[in-house]
Amino acid sequence: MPLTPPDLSRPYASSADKDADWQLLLRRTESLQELTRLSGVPEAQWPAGEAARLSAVPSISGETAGQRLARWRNVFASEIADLERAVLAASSQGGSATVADIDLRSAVYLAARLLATLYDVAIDQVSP
Amino acid sequence: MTGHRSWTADRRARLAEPEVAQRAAAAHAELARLDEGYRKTLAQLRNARRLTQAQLGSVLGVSQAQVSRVENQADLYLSTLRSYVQAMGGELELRAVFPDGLAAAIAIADLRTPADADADADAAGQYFQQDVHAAFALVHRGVGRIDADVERFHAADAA
Repeated sequence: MPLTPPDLSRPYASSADKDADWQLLLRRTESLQELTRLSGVPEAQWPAGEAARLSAVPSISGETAGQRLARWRNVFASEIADLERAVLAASSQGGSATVADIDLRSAVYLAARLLATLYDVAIDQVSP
Repeated sequence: MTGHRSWTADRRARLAEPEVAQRAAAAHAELARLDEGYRKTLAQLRNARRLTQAQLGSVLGVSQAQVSRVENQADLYLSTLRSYVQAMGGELELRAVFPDGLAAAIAIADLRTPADADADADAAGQYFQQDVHAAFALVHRGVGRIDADVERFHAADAA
């Protein structure tokens, strides 16, 4: 079901708020990178915590957690790559100060949508 | 060609001869001594030209204090050094000297000034800032199509 995205054009109230979101984006991008890596690794070699989390997602079609993760990576490969590129470009230029508020909010939102889809949870349940 | 020996091999062989090696070492020592005699600080060069820091500053279009700073600076832009030497009426030459005695003049076609470096840094900053904007523009594109992609993903979930 399509979600109504939050107001991505809302400016940050303070630089501390913006920095907090920048840190959140870094963590989420790292998670996306790690999940992309795991999609190429046999399930038996996944870290226990991640294996339990991914295996807990109910599968209607009977695919394994590994198959689902690989499919997720294939569907969202360009979004993940775009996020990685954006974070890398901003990081090399000094971090959050170089990123417009709307850009940062959009990136945080997109990363959350990708993780929420994989873990099959609501967007506000994606761990920070 | 039979019997041909390269210049380098020939030179090495000659230097291996004790008498030649001794003469070469003496020549190097003499050159080093002469070089040391010629080596001057910028301030000594300026004094030898009977110029004050203020006079040199007026030629360079900088203050006396800036001339003093240049003379005491541990590291200088080559362009600054060239300007300083030219203001005294000389020309800056650079020379590379190697332990085996070989030396070569270095031609520097385009000396960059601090202003050039600042301009380049600004241009690079703008370029990378554009890069950041371009990268986040792709993120916005992803936001625009995420609903459709998520639906596609979940549709296959239920298939």
